[in-house]
Amino acid sequence: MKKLNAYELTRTKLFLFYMLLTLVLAASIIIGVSIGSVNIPVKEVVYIFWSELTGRSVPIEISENHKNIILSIRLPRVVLAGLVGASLAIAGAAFQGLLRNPLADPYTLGVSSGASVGAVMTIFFQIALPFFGNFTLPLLSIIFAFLTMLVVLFFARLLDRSLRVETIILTGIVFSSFLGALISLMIALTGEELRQIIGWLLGSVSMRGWSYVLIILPFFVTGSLLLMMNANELNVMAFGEEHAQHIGVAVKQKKLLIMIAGSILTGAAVAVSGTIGFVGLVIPHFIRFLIGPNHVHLLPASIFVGSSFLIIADLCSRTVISPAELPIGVITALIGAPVFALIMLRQNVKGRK
Amino acid sequence: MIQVENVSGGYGEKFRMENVSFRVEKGEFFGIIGPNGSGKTTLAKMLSGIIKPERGDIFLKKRNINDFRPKDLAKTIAVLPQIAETSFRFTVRETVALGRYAHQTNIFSMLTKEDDAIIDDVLEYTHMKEYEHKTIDQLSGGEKQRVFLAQALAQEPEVIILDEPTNHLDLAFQKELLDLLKGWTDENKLTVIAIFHDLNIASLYCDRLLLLHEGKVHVCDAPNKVLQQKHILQVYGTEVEHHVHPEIPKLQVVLTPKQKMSQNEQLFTTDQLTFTDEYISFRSPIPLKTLSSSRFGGGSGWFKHFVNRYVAKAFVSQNELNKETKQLLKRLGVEPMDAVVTYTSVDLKHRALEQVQTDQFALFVVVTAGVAHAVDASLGEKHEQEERTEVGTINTWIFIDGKLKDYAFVEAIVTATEAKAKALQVENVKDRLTKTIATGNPTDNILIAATQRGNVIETANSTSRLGAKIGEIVYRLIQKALKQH
Repeated sequence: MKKLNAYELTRTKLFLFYMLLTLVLAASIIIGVSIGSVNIPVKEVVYIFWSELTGRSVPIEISENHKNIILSIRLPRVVLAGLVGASLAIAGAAFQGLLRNPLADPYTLGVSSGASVGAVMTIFFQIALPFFGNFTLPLLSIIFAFLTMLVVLFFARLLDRSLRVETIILTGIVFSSFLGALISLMIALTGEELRQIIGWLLGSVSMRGWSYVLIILPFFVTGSLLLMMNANELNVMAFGEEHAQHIGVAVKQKKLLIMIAGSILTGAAVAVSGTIGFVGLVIPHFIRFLIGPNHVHLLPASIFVGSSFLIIADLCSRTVISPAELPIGVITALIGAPVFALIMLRQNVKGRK
Repeated sequence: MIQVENVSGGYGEKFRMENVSFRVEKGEFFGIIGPNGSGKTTLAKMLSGIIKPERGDIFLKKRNINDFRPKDLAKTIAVLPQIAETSFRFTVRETVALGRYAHQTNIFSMLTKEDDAIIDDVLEYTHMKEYEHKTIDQLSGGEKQRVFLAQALAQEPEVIILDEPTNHLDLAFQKELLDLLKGWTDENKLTVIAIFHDLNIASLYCDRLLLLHEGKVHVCDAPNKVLQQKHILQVYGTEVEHHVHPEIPKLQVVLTPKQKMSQNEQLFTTDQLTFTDEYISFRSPIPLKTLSSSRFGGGSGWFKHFVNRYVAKAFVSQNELNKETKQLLKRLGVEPMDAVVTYTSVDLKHRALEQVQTDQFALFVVVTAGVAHAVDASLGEKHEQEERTEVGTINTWIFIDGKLKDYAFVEAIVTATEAKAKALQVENVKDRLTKTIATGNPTDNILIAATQRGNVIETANSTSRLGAKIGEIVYRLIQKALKQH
């Protein structure tokens, strides 16, 4: 078998690759919308979308009930899952490139937990910043995400100046546990049920509606654009910060910019869905395996694959033990944790050679 | 091109620069040397803008380096890192393309046609074109180095800084890389600043060297001046010897390991001599530093085996003769690398030897002599057209147990030659063509071999203790050998 190493990316290959990603995403959305407690045939789903988008009449009769389920309940949920998945995946890709650490993602770095603290505080203490209204929630999450990242990196640097892969992850996990405990404590003190706490910690995109989609959307767009504009900087920084500086990257500014963009994406995702782990870890690896590590393509592809992945994961979470629902984080962790272990193993084997 | 003025700074206490000043001209190959911890890398990082000087200024093309934006700096200075590692598997082409970063202006950093052309050029130049779709983790250390060289060249810099460029490379690519860079500096396209660990490589390639010592400039000058023994002793704290490069006028330094040698053992005894009709051979228990005119192992070198071989007829070529000699040496169980062979056409019975021991040195001389083709050296021109029918050779071996300076070797040769001429004069040996007193045969050989232990012998001129003995013995032995019939 020819090894997948000589990925000569011709224009045609790239075009086909992006076509494939688009098809997968479209399929995920349609399947995600069609399956549920009431199964709606794919054909009907497509016609409902068609009529809604074009305003034309369609050859079959559409049940008003189905249309309602799709447009007000399932579609916002699917879109939200997609946006959250896309945000986490692209943020993960960026963190991995920036820290030259294949195990980095918002969850393992503790950034998700930081964002959760911000979100939980906002929700349970009903904080509302003046002027920001609905955006108080993501804003506080983002700020906490950013602060957590600064603290984690600062602490990791204290431990080991060279910022080894393991040091960062260990620091991230320590902070993650601590912040998780803090969240549990906060929720318990407000007298809520423990089930809800677990729900928060493992993440969910259910019962959020279009308002949550509107909350995450602007942050997703901003963060993704910022990262994609720095794709080449990420490529260069993968060879080390000093080397990047030699090649002409203004390392300090770019690094800060990438960290802010990553925090925006993570914070906004956590604000609407809680902490969903391992998406940012698994997706970029999968894409690198397919087309190589060039961030110019890795970042946009992460958006496609991340969103498709989380839509399907969400579908599983609500159908596996239907009518009850699993937290979506259970599904992602079931897939992500073994992959994490695998990457770590490979990393160590390579290091020992 | 680059001016460093009173620069101090660095990180921590350990690797600091103090008040460093120097300039590098356009098109220069500039070397930075110094022991570990002398601040070489710190200095390189300051020149490439990674560390800002605390005091003093660095000017690049008359502009303060602090005033350069990162991209502008990268268009002027490129750095070839010792080794750049990444956990991601970029292809060679992708890696090299990153070198174009400073030249890109559009926000999504797409490569232009011009970028692609330059990438193709540098890939060709570094012989990495055929590897362009391989990932860098599949390459050897030398190939990786070439990829990063290509990346640095893709920056189209005017200055390239190298931190111990030859560290991970095998010999052939070290030379290839340095020759390549040297070529560019000669064409004035590029200024090269390189940190070297190896003083000899630095001496070979650099136009000037900066010797750092504890963060200060010890000396900055041409390599031959920087590599003086006193500088090396002061900075590296060790004695070195000098020798000259055989091909180019560059100084090389060598270390002399401590060696133990018994001083009392008598090295030269007649037991070590073997006589046959075909050869006279002498085996020394230790290698001797030898300067000789022989055609096999001649020039200077260290040898243990000395063979004076009888060759009856003129061989077609020297090569053929040497080939046959190698077979002879193998028969004798001698490694050809360890041997010097002189040839003679004179019956080996015409020989004489003598040994003398003084408190300063021991001397052992072996002569074989025949004068059938004696020539007066002052009228050598008259022999140009002559058909050589008869052959004669005087081979003189002089073994000395003592430590001779290089010039004493030459003096020993002069003294021995003068003694030979005198012997021929006294024997009334005539040049047959000119009927004048002959001075020797054109095929004569002389060999001086010394143990290089014990007392240093400064001179071997005809009035010195050693020289006088050589003169006297050689004179007597040649006379004696000629009379052996």
